[in-house]
Amino acid sequence: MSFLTVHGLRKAFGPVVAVQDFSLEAERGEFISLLGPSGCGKTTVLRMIAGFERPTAGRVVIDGEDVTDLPTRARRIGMVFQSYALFPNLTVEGNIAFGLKVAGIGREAIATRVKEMLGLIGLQQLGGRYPMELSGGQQQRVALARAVAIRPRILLLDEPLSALDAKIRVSLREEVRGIQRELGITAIFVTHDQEEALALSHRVVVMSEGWVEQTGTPAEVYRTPRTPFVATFVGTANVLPCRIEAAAGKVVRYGAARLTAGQAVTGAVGEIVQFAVRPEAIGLQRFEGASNSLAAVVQDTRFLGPVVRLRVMLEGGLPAVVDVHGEGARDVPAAGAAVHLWFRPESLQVLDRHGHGARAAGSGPGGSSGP
Amino acid sequence: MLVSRAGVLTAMGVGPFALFALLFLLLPTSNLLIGAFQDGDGTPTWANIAGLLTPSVIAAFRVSIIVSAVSAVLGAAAGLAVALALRGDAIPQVIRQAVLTVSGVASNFAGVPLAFAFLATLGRTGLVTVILKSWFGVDLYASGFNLLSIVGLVFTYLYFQMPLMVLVIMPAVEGVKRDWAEAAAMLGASPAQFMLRIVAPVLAPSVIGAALLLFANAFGAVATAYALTGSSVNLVTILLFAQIRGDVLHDPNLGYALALGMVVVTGLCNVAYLRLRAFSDRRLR
Repeated sequence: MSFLTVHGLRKAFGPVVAVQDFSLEAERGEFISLLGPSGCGKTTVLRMIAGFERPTAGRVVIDGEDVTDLPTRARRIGMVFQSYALFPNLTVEGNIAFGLKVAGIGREAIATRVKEMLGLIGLQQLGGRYPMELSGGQQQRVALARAVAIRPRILLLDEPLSALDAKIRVSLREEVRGIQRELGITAIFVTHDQEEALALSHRVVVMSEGWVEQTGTPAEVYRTPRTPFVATFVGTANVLPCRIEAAAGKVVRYGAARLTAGQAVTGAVGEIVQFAVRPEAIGLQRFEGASNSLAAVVQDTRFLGPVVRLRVMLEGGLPAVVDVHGEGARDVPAAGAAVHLWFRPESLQVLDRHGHGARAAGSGPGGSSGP
Repeated sequence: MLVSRAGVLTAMGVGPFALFALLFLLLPTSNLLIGAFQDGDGTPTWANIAGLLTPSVIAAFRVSIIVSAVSAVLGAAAGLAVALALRGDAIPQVIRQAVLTVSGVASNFAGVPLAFAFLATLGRTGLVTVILKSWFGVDLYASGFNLLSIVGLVFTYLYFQMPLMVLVIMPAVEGVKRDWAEAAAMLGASPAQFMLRIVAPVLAPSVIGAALLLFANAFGAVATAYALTGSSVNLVTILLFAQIRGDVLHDPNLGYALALGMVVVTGLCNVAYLRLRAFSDRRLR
């Protein structure tokens, strides 16, 4: 049995259903991200695990103990909030010691633990300061230390980096991951930032409108998105509606162009199926293995630093984007130029044509990798 | 020197208030400050200040301080309880708004109308007094209650003290974040531990500051006390009124000294309130 089992969670606020049939299994020490746009239900899931919201249906089991009906304070869970939620009347040390004090732990043991936590977050010199005297990054470190000081069974992180500027976000996310790894705590991390989720997680749960769209390792979610939502939310993707040429075959047709997919496509001949192609998987010159080709006209070009992004119009009037990097980025076609887009069959990723089917399939743990 | 258009507009906006403050605050205050150190002929003297140390004046300050302090403490406690009850999502928004609106009105309801309202309800023949006696057999006045006493005055003052407390403390109470309660629960604290260890220390400066404001508010009240008790309760404000209205006690310069004493007391309260509020705001930011 998994360390954390969330089964069939559903949450309705009156007529509004915030979370539908959410299930997840996490192993001890695993780092899982709930990724999705605002309002997709990811924070509601976290709050149900924490015990702040009571599920309309479903169970939460931690280490074999069903905690669904337990109050928050009895769950032994740590949480880091987006707003830090540090107690303003307590110093850094006071904040870290708070959970230990209410647990009735002895003074010396508390002092030792607080010192250890301050060392963990690298703020040994600031133990006597009040939250208002700290920067945002320092406050979030303290919040993290406070959450893990009580040795929680699960660590919940609710968009903990959202209020920080870009540079601190990157350094702090590495710190968060390092501390989680060092302590071996199972962590559930809520974010709307796909880069954060991909960089930190063993597995990512992509959510939309209360449903799980896909669960998998960062590579699986990025390389083999199951639904148009995942394809376009996690990174950028060109979604092509193609017609099936032969039953259980790999050949499909986009307009007049015949394309070969990486895997056999199930469906009736003539049926329209959606495919995703990543912009960086497309070349403007034919390259090794690139047997698929589509004619297009360049609309405009954008210099994005490491890559130049071309917006093109495919035959049939469908807009698409192509990322050109490396030496090729120095000499990209100008707007109005006719080009051919080349890509490999394995880059043509079939998407689930029935969203809810994908959601049902994605409601369990999809990835195979562990911590 | 060129004056910017924005500067002119600002001056036009602030001008009427500045003029009002000059005519009805600064000039009278200066006048009483000077008058407190003069006799009736305008000769400088310390006699008025020395008059503040006479037994009747000391007694008046003592009664005023007792009435103000008790009404401030009770008003602060009751107002804080109401504000805490209004916090969060437990109370419907419409009720919350209704309570705040009523508080806004009630906190300004004072003077003759308030005294009349209390006489009509809790006076010897007041509606509530009669109902309690005839329906429930409870005789308020036989049990020692008297509206025209210090206790009655405190009771009447609470009518505007409590809603004022609700209005003054509400921003601080709303500054207590829901995340704190959730973080405390996450760390194993019970609601009582959260209130005791976090909410109470966080709100303490604001509550003390607001209570000082309530004290100053009650200390300066005259119309309600005079309309309700006449001169049977010896308050500073009523004594002051007696010095300047022109009867047998007429001594305007002692009145100026009394007013100066009140300015000092209420001024200290307001300074302490502002400092505590600034500290609280900084902490809650």
